[in-house]
Formats: sequence, C-alpha cells, structure tokens
Amino acid sequence: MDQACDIKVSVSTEALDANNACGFVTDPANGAIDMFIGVVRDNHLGQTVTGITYDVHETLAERELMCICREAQGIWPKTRYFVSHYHGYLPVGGVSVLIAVSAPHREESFEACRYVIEEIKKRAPVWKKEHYVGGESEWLPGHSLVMQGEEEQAVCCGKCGAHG
Amino acid sequence: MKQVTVNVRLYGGFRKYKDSVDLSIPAGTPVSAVKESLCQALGPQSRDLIMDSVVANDQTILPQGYVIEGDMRLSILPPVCGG
Repeated sequence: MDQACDIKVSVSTEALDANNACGFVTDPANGAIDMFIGVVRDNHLGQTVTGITYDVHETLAERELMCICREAQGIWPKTRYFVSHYHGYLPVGGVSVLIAVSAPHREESFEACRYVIEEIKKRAPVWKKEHYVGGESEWLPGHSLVMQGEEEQAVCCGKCGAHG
Repeated sequence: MKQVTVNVRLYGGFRKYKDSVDLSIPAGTPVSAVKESLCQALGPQSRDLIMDSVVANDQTILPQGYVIEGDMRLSILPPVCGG
C-alpha cells in the first residue's frame, strides 16, 4: 500500500492499538491530537448484540482510506493521519476502527477527524454482520456505492459509448 | 464469439451464497451485463442486492458501461457500512 509520510492507513486482523495511532500523528508542530475509536456495542434496534464480523475488501479499502485522508489534508493543511479498520470478528467492546488526527490547533483536528469517519461510513468497502444473543446473525444494510451521472463518466473506460 | 472467464469475489450480504463465482461471458460484455450474469448464477433472490451493488477491480469501482475484454478478477460490492 502506498503510504505518505504523514498518512498511515491499514486494514488489520490484529487488535487496533491507540498508542500506535497517537504516536504516528505526534508532531512537534502540531498542538492538537483528536482520536475517534469505534467500538462494538451490545445493542442495535432493540436486539442484544454479542459481536460483529467485519468483512473488508482490503485492497480497495486501503486505497479509499488513503484517498479520504488526502482529501482531508487538502481541506486542513499540516494535518497528520493514522487510520486503521479491523477485519474479522469482534466481541462487544472490541475496537473496529481507530482514527487519529493531529493538527496545529484543536479546531482542525476535530473537524478533520469527523470528516474521516463520516466518509469511511459512506465510502469504505466494509460490511458488518451482527451476531445476536439468540444465535442469529444478519448483514446490516448500508450506503450504496452505485455511481450516478457525471461521477460515472469521470471513470468511464471510454469504450462503451454510453456517455457520448 | 470469444468467451472470457470472470472470477467475481463476493462480499458482505453475498457471502451467504459463496465467496466467489466464475462467470463465462462473451468478450466485450459491459459490467451491466456481468451483473445480469451474476444474478443468473446466484438466483433471482439476489437481484435487488446486485442492483444496489457496484462492480470493482482491485483499483477502482467500474462504471456500468466498462467493457470486459479478457479474463479478469472482479468484486461485487454491496452497500457499505464501515466504522
């Protein structure tokens, strides 16, 4: 995976470590570090949840995480990013996603961190299968990646003639 | 007409069918027709999820009109819910 010196992204089957995240984004020029930690909760829509299996297209996910961080860096310059998403089963309390952002000042760190998690939820190729106390499990609905109009044309192969 | 083999990896809600499926399709088939072929392979109950999904290679999501010229590996990505 292409990594920038001030952005580190990964998909991991190992437990996510907040100390690693904080250490990577630490910079003497940056006076603020904001961190988002996504954790498996024990309930969803009235059902008791025992855990979640995270399915991930690892190659595309890492590309998308990097893309999101670069976008954020374009909006909030001089920011540094560590983003890692878990792949596999996690019980309640397990850390599913870890985002650390450092910035010269707190406002940029809050805003950039919020931007990264919101974009991950809409764009990263990650899927959740919830497991319930009765032994049932269910894949959760999500945000469709189906492209529309100009967005589709922007990555068109040029051979199909569909946008001529 | 030349036939090509497309290996489609399945994710999320498609995992209940299998982890991947091989499709034999004519060279020159657009991605939109790959989705139809996948629907035939998985059964009509898969149609709604397939229509809400996108097809991707390992670099990017492919537009519906993208033309498949040779053997390749693709993925079908249902609606996402990371975080």
